Amino acid sequence: MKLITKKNIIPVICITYTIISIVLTSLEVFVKGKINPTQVNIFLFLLLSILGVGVLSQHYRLERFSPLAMIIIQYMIAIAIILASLKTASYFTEIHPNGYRDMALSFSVPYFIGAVIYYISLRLEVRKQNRIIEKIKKNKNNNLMP
Amino acid sequence: MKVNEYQQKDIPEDRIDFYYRTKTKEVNDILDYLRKHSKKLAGKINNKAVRFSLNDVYYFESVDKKTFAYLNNEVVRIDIRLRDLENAYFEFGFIRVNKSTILNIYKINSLISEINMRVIALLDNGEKIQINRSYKAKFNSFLNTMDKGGFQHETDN
Repeated sequence: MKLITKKNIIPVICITYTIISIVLTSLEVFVKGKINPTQVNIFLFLLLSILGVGVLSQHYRLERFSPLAMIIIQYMIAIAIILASLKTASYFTEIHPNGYRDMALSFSVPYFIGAVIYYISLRLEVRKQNRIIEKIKKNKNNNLMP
Repeated sequence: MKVNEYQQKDIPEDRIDFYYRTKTKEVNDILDYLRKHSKKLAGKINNKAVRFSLNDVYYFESVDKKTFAYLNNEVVRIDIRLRDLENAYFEFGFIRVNKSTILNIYKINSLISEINMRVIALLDNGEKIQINRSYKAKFNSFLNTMDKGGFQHETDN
């Protein structure tokens, strides 16, 4: 049986890379007994990834909210997590005075561009669906009416 | 297509025999309509037993583990689970659009995307049904299948 297939090759590479990076970095920190800013970054992004995936995995719990409300709720949770993570990191390494603002901006701008793209694609999709529904109903009527 | 109709009072029930040379889309549509029209469901309105045609159903809804069929002006309680209705009638245009509702796509007047990004189906009788985002992909693929001629190949077997 083939364990690595075309479908899972990318996730397998990502998992392998993550495990190797985290294990080797942890080992280096453990052996040397001190941590440098690059290593802090590696652990910070691991934490961010875990939190991000955790937030997204709870997506189904927000089903009762509208997509707009969900986008705002997820944004607020994500930005709170990012800023809290940055604050935590500041105890281990020095953060630039503009670090919080830059981090918030570099997350917010792509996030809201994504939200606008989602809104536009939704409107286009609904327009297309309306055309299909009209066509289905028209076909049915044409075939059944004398 | 030649159409003949005969009145015969001594037959036990009304009957349609449909002869065709090739099963074209037009033939399939007529057969679908006839099958759907001949599908009668039994239910209750205020404890009074009624029978109604599947064609007249706008949507099915489950409320407090009870299933209801919504017609133009009436609501009929039926004893069929939503999942069974979905499996039995998808080829007639019934698709689940949220956790508790199965919609007849032939009764949709139009879809509306609201400012809060919710998609609402406006029905011919003026009612509005929400299409949840977790059912959106399935709804899309269902519409595309119906657009390409429906599920005839599955019903023919």
